[in-house]
Amino acid sequence: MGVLFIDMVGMRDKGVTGLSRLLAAFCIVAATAIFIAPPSTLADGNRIVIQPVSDDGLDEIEEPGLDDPFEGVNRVIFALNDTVDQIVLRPVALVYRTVLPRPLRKGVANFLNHARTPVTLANDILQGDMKRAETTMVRFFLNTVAGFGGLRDIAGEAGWEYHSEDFGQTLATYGVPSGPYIVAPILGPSTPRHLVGRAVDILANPWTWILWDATTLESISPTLGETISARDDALETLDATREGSPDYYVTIKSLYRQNRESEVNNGAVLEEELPDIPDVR
Amino acid sequence: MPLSSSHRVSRRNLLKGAVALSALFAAPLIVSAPAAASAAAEQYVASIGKSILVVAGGSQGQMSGKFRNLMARHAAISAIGVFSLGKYRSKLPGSQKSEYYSLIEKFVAGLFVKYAPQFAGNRIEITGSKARSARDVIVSSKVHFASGKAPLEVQWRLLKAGSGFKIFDVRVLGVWLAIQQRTEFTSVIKRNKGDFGALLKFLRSK
Repeated sequence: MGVLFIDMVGMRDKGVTGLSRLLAAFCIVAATAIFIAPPSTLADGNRIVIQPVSDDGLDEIEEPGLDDPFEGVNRVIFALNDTVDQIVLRPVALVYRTVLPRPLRKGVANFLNHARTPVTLANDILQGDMKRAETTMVRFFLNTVAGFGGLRDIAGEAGWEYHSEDFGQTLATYGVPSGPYIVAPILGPSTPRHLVGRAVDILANPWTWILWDATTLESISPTLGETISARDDALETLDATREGSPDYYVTIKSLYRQNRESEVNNGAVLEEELPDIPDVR
Repeated sequence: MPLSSSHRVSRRNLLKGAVALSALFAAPLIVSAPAAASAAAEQYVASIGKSILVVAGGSQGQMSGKFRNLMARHAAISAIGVFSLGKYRSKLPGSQKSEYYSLIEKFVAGLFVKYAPQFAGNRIEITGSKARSARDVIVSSKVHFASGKAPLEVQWRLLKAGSGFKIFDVRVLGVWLAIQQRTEFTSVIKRNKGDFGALLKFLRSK
């Protein structure tokens, strides 16, 4: 669930490194081809229209949501991911928090964000968003020179706020529909569009090629670092979410959908897409 | 230069011009109402946001009670309650409305206590607002932290209530909480074959 939350909050992208990264990329692309958006998915791939005939016959409403035609399989994989999270990731994150003081953990998170710059920059440009591309470049320069190679977010402190972009978001800006909801083993909540985006980002990330001939431990260390750091960030949030949720699967799916839409829109509120407030007297 | 026939000012064109001009002058009057509403809404959020930060930074023991008091005064509970039922809103029996609304207050306050430590900033900055309609305004803000943590963007969706406002929804980390709640509540009812009682049972257990 650590990886899951990373996607949910959109801070970092996951994968494996070296040869296994490439293999994962191809597997993901191949798997994606299997998951074709079903006919019930509308043009934007994110909205399905539910038209219940209610008691009063008046409340036919549009419920935003991700189409989930594979819910049965998704729930099984979700339960497995959750078990791995509770048995492995969460305890490791707790140890990480105990061993490393907050400033050091912050430094690690900053460095991992910094290392992701090439992927974000490429996608800023592919989306034609030169303003954000400029921010990414300024951040990289400032944090490399004055932020001890990215350990300190000097640029953020000066008002150049961090953002991340990925190829899944780029595809969304090109109008590619998300397709149905998929819970991928280990990777967590996703969609075919998001999975393709991950694969492309892995291939586009220089770290994939820099660590190509490294030992297994070295090659997986960036992924491990990102996963543990992100799980540490999410400890309280996920605990509270799990405790307060009537159906954890539904909660995470909805959080993923809303957060992913927010990422695609760079955090902007799309007023026209909000449901109306009921007129209650 | 003499006017060509196509440039002559006909009566029809004059009329069109008059209509366009009147529309131009009327426009500021038309938009001034939402603009005024937005200014008032921004002030409202600045005030209520400050109160919420004080509660969030206070003692855990009294947090739930204090937050429930704030909710009772400032949240559009009945609108949130009805909205959270989505397509099942007609299932809400009149006799159980008040208990349902009270349970929502308790449920949200419980969540607030759990999440508060992460969102307890020391200052709220209003960054803008937009009126969706005369009764529906969205105010954007940033919560700043003394620890130097990156500011947190928070949007507030307000419902006009009399001469003031009530909070209908809040967006944190890209997630609208009432929309999230609607997904969860309707899933409980759906899994229980449309039984509203199942939702009440869940809320009572929290």
